[in-house]
Amino acid sequence: MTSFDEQRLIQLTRDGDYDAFNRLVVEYQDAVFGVVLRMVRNRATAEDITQDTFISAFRKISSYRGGIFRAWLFRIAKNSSLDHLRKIARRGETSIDEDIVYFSETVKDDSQDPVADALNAELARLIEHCMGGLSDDHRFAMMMIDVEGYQYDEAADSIGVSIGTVKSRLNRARARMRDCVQQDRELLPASMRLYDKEN
Amino acid sequence: MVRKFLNRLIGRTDLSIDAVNAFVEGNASADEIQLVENLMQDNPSLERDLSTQQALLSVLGRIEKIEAPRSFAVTPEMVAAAEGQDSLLSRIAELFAPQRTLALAPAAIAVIAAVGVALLTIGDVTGVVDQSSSSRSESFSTAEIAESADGGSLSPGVAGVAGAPGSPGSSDSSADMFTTEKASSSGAATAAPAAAVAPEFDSADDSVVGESMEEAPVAGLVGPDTDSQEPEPPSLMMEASADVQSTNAVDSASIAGSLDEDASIQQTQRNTGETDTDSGVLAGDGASSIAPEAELAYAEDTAFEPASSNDGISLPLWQLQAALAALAIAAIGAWAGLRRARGG
Repeated sequence: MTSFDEQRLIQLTRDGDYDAFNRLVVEYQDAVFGVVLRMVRNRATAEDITQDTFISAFRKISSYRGGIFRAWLFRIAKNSSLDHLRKIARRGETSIDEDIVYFSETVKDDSQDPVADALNAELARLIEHCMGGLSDDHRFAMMMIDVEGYQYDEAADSIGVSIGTVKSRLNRARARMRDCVQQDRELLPASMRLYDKEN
Repeated sequence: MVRKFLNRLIGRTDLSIDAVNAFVEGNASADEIQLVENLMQDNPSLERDLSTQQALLSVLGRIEKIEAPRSFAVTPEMVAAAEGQDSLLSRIAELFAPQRTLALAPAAIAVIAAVGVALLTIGDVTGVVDQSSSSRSESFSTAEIAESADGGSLSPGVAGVAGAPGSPGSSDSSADMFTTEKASSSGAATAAPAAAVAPEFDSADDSVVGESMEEAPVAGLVGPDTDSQEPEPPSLMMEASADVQSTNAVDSASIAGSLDEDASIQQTQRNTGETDTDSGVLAGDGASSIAPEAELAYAEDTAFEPASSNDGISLPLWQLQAALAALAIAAIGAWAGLRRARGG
């Protein structure tokens, strides 16, 4: 979808055109759902938040004042996700194990080697565990840039902070992740174990 | 440190952070690479850390993109439902939902109790509400009981009748007083029963006398027998007597009636021996006997104080205030506990 098409669909949505908006939904629902799922780590909750995000976007489309539309959607999704996380933190709830999304399910591995698959799965669990230990802000920055591959300006727009702040958060998030994964060096790839701190 | 602070303030990052991020991501410029290499020379562990980060980044980059499990297309019904949820009426309805009402009930009770305390206080200050005389009498009755425990066994009702006649050399004055009291019941200017102890006040303790005079004006007004007290103007005597008469006709009548049976009462008291003891204290003990008498006179005065002399509504004010304040505190505690239990 070109930027021209996107702006035209946004304008139609402002006029109350559901079909136009749903074309935008189809375009961005994977990205929004992915970000939300990695934030809340519960599929059912992620679906609810994603749906609410698009409903809110339709209702508040008049407040969209240009810029990256996807980042605007991510901002709504991020705020909804953080609201949910704060709510469950206050109530002291935890996710049900089978609903937790492990990165092991989604780490690509073309080796066709069962041992490598198993190691990758463990590594992915370690990454999942370490990312869970990050603060919400740091995790969101790392998710947007290192996992989803968005640019700094888009991530900054989504989070609602400056690019410099995003870089700082990302720098600290990477440093903490590095320290965390080093605790289980056996699971790390050879390239990461070469620089074992004990050597 | 200052540079980092200023950079944060204006939304810029430290150059080294930019360079390190770019180096880890593999898209650093020549200047940034040079800067990172200089940093590595200063800090040998940096090379190891950055290499670890690069490896980590490659792992993160291998994570597959997530696909939406279903369509999240928006329908007019969804939007209408969301707008309905946000409408004022639905918010009010949610406010009074059973689970919320349970938590709001203590809060409402606390607010009502606090408002009650405030209204009572305002009423007390403005004079709309007044402490009821019954509760005052109760409070002074407590003092009276304490007085009795200290040895003074006279009750206010008996003091005027039994104490004075039994005192040595006071039979004439008591006779005069009885006459006066009888006249009081028939409408003439007279004194309250408290006057029975007023003649016993001595100038030995001016402060006590002064206090008793201040607190028991009726006793003071009918104290012409005392040596130290100036006779009050007749007009004041009339005024005070009129007050007492108008409000305590029944009491005065009953006292006067009891005075008619003076002989039998005196006989009874002589038999018990209480009167001798009490009158001895009243007459001969000087300053030590003044305080109980003053309190008795005060108790008499307050007991005879007309409840209708104030324009306000008589209520057990401080008892109500204390009860409402306690209720408010308890309700706030319950409300906080419920909120904590609900996790909100």
